[in-house]
Amino acid sequence: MIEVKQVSHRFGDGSTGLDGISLRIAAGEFVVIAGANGSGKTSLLRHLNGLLKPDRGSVWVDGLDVTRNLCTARQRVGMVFQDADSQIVGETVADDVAFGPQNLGLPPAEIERRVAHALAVVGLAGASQKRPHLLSGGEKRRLAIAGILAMQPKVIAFDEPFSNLDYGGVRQVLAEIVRLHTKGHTILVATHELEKVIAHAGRLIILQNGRLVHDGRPQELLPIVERYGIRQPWTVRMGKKVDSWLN
Amino acid sequence: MTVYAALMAALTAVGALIAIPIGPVPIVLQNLFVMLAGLLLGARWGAASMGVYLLAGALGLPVFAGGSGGIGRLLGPTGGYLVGFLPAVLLIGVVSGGKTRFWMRDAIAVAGGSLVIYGFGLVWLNHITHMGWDRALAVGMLPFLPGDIAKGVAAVLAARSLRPRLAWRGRP
Amino acid sequence: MAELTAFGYQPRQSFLHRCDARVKIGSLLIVSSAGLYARGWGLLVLTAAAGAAFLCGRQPLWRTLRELRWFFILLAAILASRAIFTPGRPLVQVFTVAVSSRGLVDGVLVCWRLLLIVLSAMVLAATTRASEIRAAVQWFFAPVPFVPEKRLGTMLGLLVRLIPLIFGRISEVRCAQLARCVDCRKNPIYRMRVLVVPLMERLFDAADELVLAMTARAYHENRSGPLLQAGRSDWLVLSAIAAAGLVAVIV
Ligand SMILES: Nc1ncnc2c1ncn2[C@@H]1O[C@H](COP(=O)(O)OP(=O)(O)OP(=O)(O)O)[C@@H](O)[C@H]1O
Ligand SMILES: [Mg+2]
Repeated sequence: MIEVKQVSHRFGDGSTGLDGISLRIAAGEFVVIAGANGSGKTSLLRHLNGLLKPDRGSVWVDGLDVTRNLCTARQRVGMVFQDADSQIVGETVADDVAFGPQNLGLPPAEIERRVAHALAVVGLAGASQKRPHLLSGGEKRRLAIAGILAMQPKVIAFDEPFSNLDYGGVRQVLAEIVRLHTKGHTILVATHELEKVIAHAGRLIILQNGRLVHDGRPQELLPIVERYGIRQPWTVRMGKKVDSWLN
Repeated sequence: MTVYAALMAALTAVGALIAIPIGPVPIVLQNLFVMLAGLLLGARWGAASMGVYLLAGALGLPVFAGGSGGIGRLLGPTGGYLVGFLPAVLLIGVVSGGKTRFWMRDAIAVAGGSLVIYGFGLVWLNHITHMGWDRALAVGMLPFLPGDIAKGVAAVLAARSLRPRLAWRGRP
Repeated sequence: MAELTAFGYQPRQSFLHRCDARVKIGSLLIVSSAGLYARGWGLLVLTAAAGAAFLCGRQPLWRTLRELRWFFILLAAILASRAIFTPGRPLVQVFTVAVSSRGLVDGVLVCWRLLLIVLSAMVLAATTRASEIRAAVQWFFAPVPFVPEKRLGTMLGLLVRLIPLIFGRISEVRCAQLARCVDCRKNPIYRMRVLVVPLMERLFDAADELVLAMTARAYHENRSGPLLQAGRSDWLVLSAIAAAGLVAVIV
């Protein structure tokens, strides 16, 4: 599904974003990418839909080279950004969700259908004529998810989906992510707050200084994550199993 | 309002410094922001924002396209366009302002403002280079006309979406 | 883009760095206006003055010239245009293109003037702190009616503060839109509108926030700025420049 081959990226000012990362993600996986601030989580996600181009190595989605098939890659790999506000384009909630499908050049009837469906999925159907800026933090994030869903991506990548959200907001968004996963989407979540999401993940990837240092099952990696500047879920510290925030 | 005027001045500066790859060629958005300064802030504050921009540039802050140069930039061959921002924004503010908001007025204002910028720009270009009016027109106006028309339309449309939100937020 | 925030200021120890900002700005104005009128010998006098200032400010020549690379292209264009399009006795003729001697002399003169002014302005920018420039601007505009000089100073400060913020916001908004395939759309008007509206909306929010943060730190316009002090040497510099300007215009 997704294949990252020996990707390195250096920013214009000389700082290293990624350093020789290789990984392979199969369809239907739920992967958490963890690491301290500045470890390269955002940079890695941005390579998956061609927002950043690798200096060395290559990224493949469904057997297509991302840098040569930007539009397809962006449609297949939807991305929900760290800052939900910067994603808002439209003047109403429905307008905003329609932005992506319109860009894809779909017929109006199809766009309407997709918008209605995406809004229903994230539970914002009643707010479709509201102004996006008046939504709450959790609702804005769900709106961003709807905007991505309307493009019908196979993979959905979340960059720090829980930042700035209160307890209720986190639960709303988390429930959304889990529901999308059960519906068959491949899910990638970049975060440093493992506690909130790791109970649902099948795989944990740890980054440090732009390098991939661990890739394995959460149960095996959780005992050592604190070495990489990531906080361990408290239940693990207490010697118990991780607990879902949805319970 | 002070901070909004400073914001438009800063946007004008950024507009000069980066070209954004949209459309067939990368587009320099500077004129777009100049027009928006007039449409959104009105004559008085729009002119204030352009005044601050030009002053900052004259004093050597690298806010003009293609690097620094301070007051020499304003006197150089392309300086007329920069100086023209000020009367252009005044004109745009005056023409588009008033009680009734009507898109025709915005459009006329933007077109007039652009002509003012070209007027100042071409007069000075011709004065410095002695190239003659026909050549000045060919070098200093015609190649930029299509882009400027697109920017003018975009400015009018953007102003229409932005105005209600500016009014809504209350002015400090 | 980091250089943008600092007025091109180069911290060094030199006479010019210690000089009063008002004197430096005044000198720049004198050199610029005199430079526009001076010819031949007058320009030479001014160039000598500016050159002295350049050496005195201990500026790296190479870096300065590189900063000006675009300007040199413009200058070359002016020279060519003047030389070709000024009517006069042809000096050299290549096919239909004739270079007149009067045009050539004129062109060199114009380029010289512009270069002189640009270099002087760069010396000012490199040797004067932003806060000093702001204070000097406030001082200059204090006697001017209808210009609230304190507010002007505040706006200059905000301008400098907002530019890097805008760069950040532009790249954020652009990334988010690219992820939703905005580049499948070819209509530039649509693209501009869709970029500019959310961008400016977010920037207005950010500007409001900035005002709140400044108010929270008790910002008001009558705040204490850097002290401007003109000593004997400053007056000496100003009179020397004024004399040079006068000579330049008269000669
Ligand atoms: N546009 C940029 N220009 C220069 N350096 C950058 C840029 N973006 C990121 N970096 C650098 O690249 C490194 C990785 O950044 P990245 O944003 O991928 O980290 P992150 O893991 O997402 O961090 P965070 O948890 O803070 O979001 C950091 O050291 C950062 O300073
Ligand atoms: Mg990040």
